[in-house]
Amino acid sequence: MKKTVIKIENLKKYFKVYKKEPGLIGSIKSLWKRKYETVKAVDDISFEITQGEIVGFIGQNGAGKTTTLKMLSGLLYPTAGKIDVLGFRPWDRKPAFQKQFSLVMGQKNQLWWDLPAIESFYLNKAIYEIPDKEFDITLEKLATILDVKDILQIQVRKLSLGQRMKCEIIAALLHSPKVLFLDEPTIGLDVVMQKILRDFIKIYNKEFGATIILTSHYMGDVKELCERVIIIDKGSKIFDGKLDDIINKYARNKILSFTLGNGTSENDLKEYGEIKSFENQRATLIVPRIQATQIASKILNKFKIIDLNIEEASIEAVIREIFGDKNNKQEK
Amino acid sequence: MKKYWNLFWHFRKIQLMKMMEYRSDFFFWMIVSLMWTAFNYFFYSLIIGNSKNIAGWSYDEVMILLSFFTMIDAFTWSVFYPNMIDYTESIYDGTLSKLLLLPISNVFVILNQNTTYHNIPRFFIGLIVLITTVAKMNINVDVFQILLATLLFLTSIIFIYSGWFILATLAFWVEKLKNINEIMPGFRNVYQMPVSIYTGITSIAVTFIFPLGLVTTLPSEVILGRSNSFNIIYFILFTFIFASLTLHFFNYSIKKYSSVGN
Repeated sequence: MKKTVIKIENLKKYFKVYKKEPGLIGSIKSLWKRKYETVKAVDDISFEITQGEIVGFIGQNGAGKTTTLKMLSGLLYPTAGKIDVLGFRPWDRKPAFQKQFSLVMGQKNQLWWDLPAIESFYLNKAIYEIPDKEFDITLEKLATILDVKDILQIQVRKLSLGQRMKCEIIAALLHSPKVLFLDEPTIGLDVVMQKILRDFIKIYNKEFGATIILTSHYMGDVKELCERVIIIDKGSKIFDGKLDDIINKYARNKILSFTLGNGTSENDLKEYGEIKSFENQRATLIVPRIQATQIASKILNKFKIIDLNIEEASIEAVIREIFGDKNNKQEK
Repeated sequence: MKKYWNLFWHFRKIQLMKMMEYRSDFFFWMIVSLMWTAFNYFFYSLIIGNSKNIAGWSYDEVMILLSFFTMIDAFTWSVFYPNMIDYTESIYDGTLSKLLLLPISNVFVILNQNTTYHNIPRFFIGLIVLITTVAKMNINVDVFQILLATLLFLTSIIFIYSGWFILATLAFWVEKLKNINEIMPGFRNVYQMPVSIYTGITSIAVTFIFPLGLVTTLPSEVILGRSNSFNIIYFILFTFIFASLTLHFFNYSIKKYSSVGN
């Protein structure tokens, strides 16, 4: 049985935020009386992650993903609940703990802006007390995999976003952390660079047996890297399981794609489901999941069908549906 | 300890490299710093030239005090100011996070990571004026006096830095406190003069309640051979307790850190 590396129990983080009334009058009023509101950034979340897992943390903006990662790395004190990462309480910020994990935030720069990345690496070497030989081997390995050997001597501010991100990742991994928190590591990168980083994360996970939590708005990242996902919405966990199980649990529709013989019009198909596309006798219909087989059978009986496929909805569509439903409910 | 010593010099090296990236900025501010120092000495020469002494301190004695002021001021602008500016900004923009994740003392990094070098010549000007004035006055200064004056100089550095740090740490508690880093430089005028210039309640305030007035007076008095033992012990003890309180306040305030959203 694999060792539990991260354990969270009933974790809560509430922030008190000031709500200002609009306009100058509101500003004047706020000088002596302010209205505060409690925002539940994370509300009663529990989960466990075992060694070597890559877990995708999915949620809309403001769902509480980054707040959770910040609590896991000891940057924020929780309002309530328990956290155990590698046997440590993160907010104690013990060096023995800090030497075993890394937090990479795609939107934050950790390197010295005016100096070449290699200088930041040397500083990290001194801070993390990495032995010379280990440092050389790790740097050589990471720089080779990420193909950045040629740019290590160039000032960080002169590098492209992709090059900077690669260097950020190297800086975060020089001390070979056992736990890695990746907060939108591919944000703003082009598709080629996204792919390179994903491949790298896979390699790192395999070679170092690292436990990784990944947040990303790109479903490509999650699909390619994570077997398990945790979906968080407005601070609460709404799903924790295998990526494929999201479809079983939440998908309400299936997709029927078929090619019709001549003489069938788009109008003839309306009664069977929502027509997603109809072009050159090739039709795609969205049908209720539980009736998919029956509808397919009806279509086969009624029309001349050349080929027919029944597909699950894409994971992106299902997740869009989950959050779309929640947003609609709230609007109502 | 060795790790921190190495890191201290590593930070200095990084800042030196940064400075060399922007040479003209360095030379411009160095000239400004030198001009400011020259003006300061000239200003005091004018005042004392007219009144012969300030609060019982002769021209040469004031020059010694001014030398300690110049050296402390070099620290103020070289170390305290850039670090405290960075510190308060990092609380507001969330970049403090990267520092809090490091497996070293957060306070050490906050207080040490930045240095500007253009005020370094100012430090040496202060030191040279101190040595030449002592030679000119023909006073005997023994090793014990030098060591005690050095100890008091370092105590003054810790005292001022602690005051600044406690003020800057208020940034955790208040949503925006932009000019907080202007308060301590504003207090420099207090210790630019001998403490004996202050009378009544002001004297009690700057000698005992918050002994800013002793910052330059005490090491100068030690060199001049007329030190006040009570004031020295009081100042050292006060600074020790004040620095400890500052650290406690930081450790307490850090719990208020909310970082920033993405």
